[in-house]
Amino acid sequence: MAEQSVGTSFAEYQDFYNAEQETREKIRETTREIEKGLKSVIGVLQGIHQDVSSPHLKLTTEKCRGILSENVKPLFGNLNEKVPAGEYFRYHDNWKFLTTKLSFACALICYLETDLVANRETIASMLGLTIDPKAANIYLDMEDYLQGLLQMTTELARFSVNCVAKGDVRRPRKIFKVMSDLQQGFSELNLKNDHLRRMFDGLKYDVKKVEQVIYDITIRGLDSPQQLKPAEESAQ
Amino acid sequence: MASNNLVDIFRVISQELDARNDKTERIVKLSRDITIESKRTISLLQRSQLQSTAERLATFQKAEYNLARVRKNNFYKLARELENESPFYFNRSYTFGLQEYIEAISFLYYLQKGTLIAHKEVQRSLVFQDVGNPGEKRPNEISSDGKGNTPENNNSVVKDISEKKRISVHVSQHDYILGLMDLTGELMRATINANPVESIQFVQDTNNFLQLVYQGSLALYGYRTKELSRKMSTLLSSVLKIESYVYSLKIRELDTFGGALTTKPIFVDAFGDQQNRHYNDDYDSGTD
Repeated sequence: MAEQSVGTSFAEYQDFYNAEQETREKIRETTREIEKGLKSVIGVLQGIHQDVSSPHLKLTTEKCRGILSENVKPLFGNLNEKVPAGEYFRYHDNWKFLTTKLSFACALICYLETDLVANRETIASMLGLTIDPKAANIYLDMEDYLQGLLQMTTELARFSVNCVAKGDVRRPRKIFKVMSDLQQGFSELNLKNDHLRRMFDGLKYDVKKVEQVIYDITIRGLDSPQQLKPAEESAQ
Repeated sequence: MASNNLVDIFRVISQELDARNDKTERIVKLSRDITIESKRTISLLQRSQLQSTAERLATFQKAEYNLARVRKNNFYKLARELENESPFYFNRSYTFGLQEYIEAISFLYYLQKGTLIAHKEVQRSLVFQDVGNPGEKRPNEISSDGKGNTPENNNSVVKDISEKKRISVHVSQHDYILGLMDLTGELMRATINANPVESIQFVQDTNNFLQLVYQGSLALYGYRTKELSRKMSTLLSSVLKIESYVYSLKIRELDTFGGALTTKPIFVDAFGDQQNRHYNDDYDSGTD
């Protein structure tokens, strides 16, 4: 009797485990494809640090949007079919990296286009996702979105340095505005002592970096109207 | 397309985040209470090893009562918290309580029936009828409040769920197998604590049982999680301990009588207590 019950229990566990692995493997097939799209978007986005002129930024974001809608969006639809309903968090670790990093990319694209921070719905729709856990098997989780925003601030801090290096001395102020707004927003959240919290702790260094850039510009009077030559007015 | 209003974005997120974190906190608290109650029940059952048959039956009843109370007071609330949520998101917040409960209920089950409780039976014990009143109300107090049209005398939560809404605490196979690993440690202790003369059958059966579990667990080789690996090495040491205990019982039996222990009740009167004490000291290093 004992022999049978022990045998059954372990056999059940093995079946369960194997089925789970199978689902994971199917999910991985798709996430590997999404990763390719992600890599090319990130690669294209890196170009903003070389050429900060408005036409180039416009070109960059257009190109990124093209990749997203062609190579990423349909794949998330594909992934949605592979994730069993209601089991988002069971397999979350398989795509958490992707949704976080893609949130970052989308937030940066939106920022470059509009100088504003995109909300979760906007970013989710760029990826062909929803934000409603009940509407689909896979969606854009709040924590992934927030982590994406924090990754964007790090990128923007670097961008502000490169803007000045390439002659655009106006943009850092705009970047600073959005970063301090984000800092304000994040500080109002009751974060647990988790990964998100540690990322938020790093935000102040990004803000400081932009402050330093602005200080350098201001003390030299580089952004005063007399100093600005027409050619340097690259940002609109 | 991009919202200008960061304040709006963060207000919505803040509410959602707080709700999620608060829920996690409540679940962790419930899980901790479940752990405490389950541990108490396990200790109670461990003590039953030295009791007479009649006392032991009373202890089992007490243990059953304890577990029923845990289900009613803690698991029911947990099920309510998990309603319409992904159990997988909160699993890490309640898995330890659940594992401890599985350990307790499977220990009781083994002592009563000499076999392993099935996964579906554990799961069945954690299905409740939703009585629609968050937090305070207990499942079998519904009859007194006007809200539910539940029949009187609905003492068993699991019974008579028919068309009512069911809620449950999801027991994953992972939780179950981890709870089962914990059970083996308790069985090792119970065996060492048992009277080797009166309970010789129990000792031998449990020895076999643990060997079976170890044998079964070897099939999981290659897909162990970190936690399972740790528990499996504990399992092996339990198996080795119990095996050498059974061996030494046999040697002693041969030394003393050259025959079967069970047929020589005089052994109890002459040496029982002292001998027991000796083995307890030797093997039962794990007791609290």
